[in-house]
Amino acid sequence: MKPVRVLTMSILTGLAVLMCAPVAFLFAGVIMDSGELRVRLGPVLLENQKGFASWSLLPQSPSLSHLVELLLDSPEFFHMFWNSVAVVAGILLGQLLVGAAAAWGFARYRFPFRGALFTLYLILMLMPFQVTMLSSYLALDRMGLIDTLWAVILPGAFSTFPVFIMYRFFRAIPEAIIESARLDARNAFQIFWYIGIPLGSAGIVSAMVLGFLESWNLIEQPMAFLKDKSLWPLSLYLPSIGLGNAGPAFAGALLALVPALLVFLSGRDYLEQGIVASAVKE
Amino acid sequence: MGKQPMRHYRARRPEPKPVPQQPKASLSVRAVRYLAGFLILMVLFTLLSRAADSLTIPKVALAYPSKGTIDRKMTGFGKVEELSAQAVVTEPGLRVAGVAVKPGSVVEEGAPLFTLDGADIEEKLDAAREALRLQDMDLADRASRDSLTVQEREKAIERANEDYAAAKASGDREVERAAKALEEAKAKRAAAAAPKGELSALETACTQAGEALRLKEDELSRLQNEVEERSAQARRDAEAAGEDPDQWESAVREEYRPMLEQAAQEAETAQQKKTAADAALAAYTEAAAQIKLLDDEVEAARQSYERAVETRDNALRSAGRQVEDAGRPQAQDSSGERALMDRERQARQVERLEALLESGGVVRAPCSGTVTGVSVTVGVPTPDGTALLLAGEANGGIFTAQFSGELEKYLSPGDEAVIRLGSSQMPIEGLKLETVSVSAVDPSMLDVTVRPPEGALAVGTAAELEVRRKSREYPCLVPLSALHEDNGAYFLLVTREKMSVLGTELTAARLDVTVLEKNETMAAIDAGALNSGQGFLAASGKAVNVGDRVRLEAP
Repeated sequence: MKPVRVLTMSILTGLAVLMCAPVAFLFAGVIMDSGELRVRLGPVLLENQKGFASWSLLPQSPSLSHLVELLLDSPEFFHMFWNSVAVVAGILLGQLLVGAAAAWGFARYRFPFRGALFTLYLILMLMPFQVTMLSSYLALDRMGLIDTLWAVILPGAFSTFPVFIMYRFFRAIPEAIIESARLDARNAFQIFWYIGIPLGSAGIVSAMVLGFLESWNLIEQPMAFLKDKSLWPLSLYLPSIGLGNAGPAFAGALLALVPALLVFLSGRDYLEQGIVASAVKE
Repeated sequence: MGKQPMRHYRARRPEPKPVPQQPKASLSVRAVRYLAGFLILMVLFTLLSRAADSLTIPKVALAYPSKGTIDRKMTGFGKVEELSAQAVVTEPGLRVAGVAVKPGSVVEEGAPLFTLDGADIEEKLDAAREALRLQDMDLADRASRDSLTVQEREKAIERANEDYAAAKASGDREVERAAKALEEAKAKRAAAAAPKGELSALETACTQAGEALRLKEDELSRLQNEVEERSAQARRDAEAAGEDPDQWESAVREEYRPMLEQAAQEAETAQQKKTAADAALAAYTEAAAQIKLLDDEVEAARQSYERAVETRDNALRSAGRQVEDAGRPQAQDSSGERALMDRERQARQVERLEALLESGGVVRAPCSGTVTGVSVTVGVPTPDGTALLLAGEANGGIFTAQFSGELEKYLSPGDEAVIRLGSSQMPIEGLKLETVSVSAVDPSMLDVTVRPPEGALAVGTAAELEVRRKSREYPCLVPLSALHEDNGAYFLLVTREKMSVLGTELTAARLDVTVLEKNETMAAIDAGALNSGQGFLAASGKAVNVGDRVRLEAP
């Protein structure tokens, strides 16, 4: 079995390296100076040059100038960073307040048209943004929310995906616990607050982590609903990349990666539990 | 038993208690801590980047255009030069009685230079006075003629206006009369009753009635013939039968009598119908003829009205042209002014001759100096031109300064000037430029001359000439420091709002302007370049280029 294991590990390692290659390129691009970037990316970014772009994981003349330029000379980057933080915080808070209660309702209660409603949730979850973009725009415009951060926060806060994630975890809570709580004269809210949320915390955290990763990288909604550049999130920091801003683009991408990576690491255990829970057949 | 050896006990240091190790924080907890640290770092860098950004953005002050003049102060250096010789002139054609000087003679002001013949002066004076009288009479005649011309012209204009008014009144009356006649004809026509029915229908009815009458008459005639035949036959049959023929005839006639009566009745009825149809047709024809007559009258009245309007317009046009012709401005005639100028010239000549006669014919020196040329000779009439040349004193002179040729458009004779001799001496003010010309020595420079007061400066004195010139008032003046130049085009930097990620920012934008005039400190630009209340970038601690972000200084 050992050769099989070795082969398996080799294949997996190769795939892992392949998946990590863009991040390695990113690190290299951050410390590559402008001259070397021009040479390597010129065939792609310049009109009068032919050929293919080249890359090196070890720059010939490393420099931290792009990082310094981004950290000390680009206040717009930080402005957009905090816009992203505001949007993500708003969306996650909304999902926590609305999604958790909706998931608890679907998981623990029986009411008319429950199945149809849940199916509708699933359908909405599967629809891409382009399908609902126009109707969302018209509704938001009617409410006077276009060109405000609420135009991005509200649709995300009422997303159906976290409901789906948390539903699985709430369903896994044994009914006996609920019954015993009822016998202790707990009302519905107390059961949800003191039993549902603690026991379903894994699902909640899992949904929050996935929600963070999705919201942090939003591009289409800000481009469609936000015309004022001062409201743009970090994902729109450099909508068009040229040779003049390739270095800052790499540095900005690196800094934008850090929060997502840290949030993922902090919620990785719960994510794994969520994946397991979703794989368990009832 | 013996003593036990003393055992020495060394106090042992108590062993340190094992420190309970903190459980290593899980990766999740550490990730949360790192995330918190990262956010704190981002806050710090946010502040640092904003501080650095604000340091790089230049602070600018807005200035606003003002009204005023472009004062130009131009200076040039020069020195006092000897005044050129002065020409002494007198009346030409007068016989010289005596010459008191010769070239090189030094004379004082008022000293006799030469003497003219008194009798010749008197003769010339009489002729000049006579010519003056003739000119006066000519001027009087001309004035009288001009006055008459003016009166005649005014009279012609008045008559033309009267003719115009009369033509208008007459024309309006005729037009009014014709319009009234037209209205009456139209009213009569409107009041006339239209013929009833339709001509074709009436004619058809007449025809049909006539046809019906003919048929009825034919029928009656046929019956009558038939009656006669039957009666004749009955008589013959009666005679053949040996009966009474009258009786048989009467029986036949009696038999046909109802039919004859009916036929006659029908014929009578048809006759009546035809008569009515004919009468209706005749009435229609008559009414139509009447309508046509009225239409003809209306048409005639309209033509008459149009003729009246045309006649009136023609008369007015003709009278209007006469008014225009009478009021046409006459060609300019300057012969009167020329005659007046000739008269004044003649009068001046008379004055000069009278002055000469009064002085006994002696021509004296206008100033002290040296005689450099004598053009008069005893016994020969004086020339038409310079009689004698006299050079000025050594302490007189003219100040000539050199200026750059670029200043030619700003210097002109009559401009105020000041001669500055140095900090220790008072400047000589109140001077006016005499001449401005291109220097013969250096064509790129200008020679500007000014005459200082007599005795103020010695010949050869060097000094600075300052000329001040004020332009007209301009409504829009900007400091020269705020004006930028690019390939010969001037522009100001103004602020423009620009939406960016950091919100609304001010950037420096280019505003092209036309410079009307400028000096060393201010420039006048076209008044429409800047909007009302719009300012421009005047001062900044750092260089500002087009497109740079700027911040306004607190007022």
